Amino acid sequence: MSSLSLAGRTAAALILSTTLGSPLAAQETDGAQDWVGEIAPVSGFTGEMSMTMQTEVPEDMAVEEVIRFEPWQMLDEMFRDDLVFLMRSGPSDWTASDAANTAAQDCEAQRLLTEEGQDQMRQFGALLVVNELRPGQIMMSEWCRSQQTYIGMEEGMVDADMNALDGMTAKLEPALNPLAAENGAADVDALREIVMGWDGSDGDGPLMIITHFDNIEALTEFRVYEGEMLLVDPKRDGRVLGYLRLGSATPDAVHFPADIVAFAEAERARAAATD
Amino acid sequence: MPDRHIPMIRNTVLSAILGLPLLAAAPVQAQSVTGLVNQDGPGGRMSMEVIGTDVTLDGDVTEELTFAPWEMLGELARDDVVLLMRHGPTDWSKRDMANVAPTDCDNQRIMTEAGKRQMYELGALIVANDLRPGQIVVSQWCRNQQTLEALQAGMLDVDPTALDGIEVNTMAELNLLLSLQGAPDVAAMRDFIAAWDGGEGEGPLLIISHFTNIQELTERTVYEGELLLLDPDQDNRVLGELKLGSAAPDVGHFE
Repeated sequence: MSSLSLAGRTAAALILSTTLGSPLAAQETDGAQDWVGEIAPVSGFTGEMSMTMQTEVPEDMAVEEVIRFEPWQMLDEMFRDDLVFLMRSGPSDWTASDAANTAAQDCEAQRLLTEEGQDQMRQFGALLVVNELRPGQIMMSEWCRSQQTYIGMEEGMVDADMNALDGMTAKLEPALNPLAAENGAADVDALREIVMGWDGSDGDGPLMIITHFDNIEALTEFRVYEGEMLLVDPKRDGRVLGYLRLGSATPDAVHFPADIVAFAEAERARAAATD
Repeated sequence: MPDRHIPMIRNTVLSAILGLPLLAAAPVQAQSVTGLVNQDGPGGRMSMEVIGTDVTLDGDVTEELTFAPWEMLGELARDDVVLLMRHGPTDWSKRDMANVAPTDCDNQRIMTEAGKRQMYELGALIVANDLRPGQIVVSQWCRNQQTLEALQAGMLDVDPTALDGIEVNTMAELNLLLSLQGAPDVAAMRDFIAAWDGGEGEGPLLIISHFTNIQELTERTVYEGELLLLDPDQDNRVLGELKLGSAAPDVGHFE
């Protein structure tokens, strides 16, 4: 086990037992920014990970987002290296759609991340590293929006710590391609094998998998927002322990029924009006 | 005899629309208690009135059952809809232990006495306004079982026959989502709702589950004791919500 993940666990345990809401020490690795993570409860059930920067940074490195997670009790388990973070690709441009027979990496014929979505993924990456949730291994669908999601996150991780990628492997995996697509994955058998076979490897952090709505729903029965990640526990028969997503995440109109999307929009408008 | 029960809610709707007196609409079984419904803003309020002397209600029912939108009143008359409810008000000073067993009441957050009273009044209001369910299923969690007990007590005090022929089952599939020994996902609950077709025609299906399960299925955040009305014929779409006047956001799930 690396000292890095050990530090993460200690910090989490400390927060749980005594110092709710106190700042986590930034990781003391060479190359790390002086950015400070903080994990605090939002309600009795929901937690929030945020970060503050000690010195001013260029706009393209700024982090305004926070990570929301549920349930708060998951904090006990969240820093385990033998978990799988099962993620859906980030916010995309829904005015486009995948061509029926698009090749896996034909970005011209696919729905892609919006610029804002890609920037949100950058912030997600920074927040993960600063809050000691750096993945040890990353696997992603070959589809362009999954790769864009990774590229965004990678940028944020390196912003937070220029050595963040040391020892981390990131690779494309055709078995993670979208279920419904002509050139996609036929089923989630291979995904299930990857998830259930993860045992923490070298102890450098959890496995992060970037895939698609349909694949995640087929495997877990959970419907996730763009950029949301489920924490899946292979040691508990693949049980979903909870989720992490950015504060800005919302249900999209294609995968969620119209009444749910309309309700979420109304809630956001109401929250904005009372802010 | 299929038309022995004349669902009062249909008469209530009619009365509300036509401005007729509601007392005439009271069914035989609950002749000493009557339901009242008033439009209020985008929704409405249901209350009840004791008009006989042979009612053994435990104190006055002062709660009102608010609902929205007003148009859902018509849908509430259907037997083939589902009332998806969150357990009643609990004591948040004591949380569920991380790996708590579903029936380990000593290590769970349980209902307050005030919460039990509210669920008792909700049960009374449900029967008085002829929203009696045709079937009830409930999570194993202690606060859900307590909710059921209080609801049943209120229902029976309004009408001792209110639960006759009503199937009541505990279903592990409704147990708390994202708790280590809870339900692993909401697929079973979703399928159970989708398969509901009105049963014997005695009323809607009532499901007593949890915030997290209801949020995962519907994306709605509900108060303790709140009910959503779902339509299996429309892909489990939410038609509206009902909750007591006293319902309030809890510290566990609301900022």
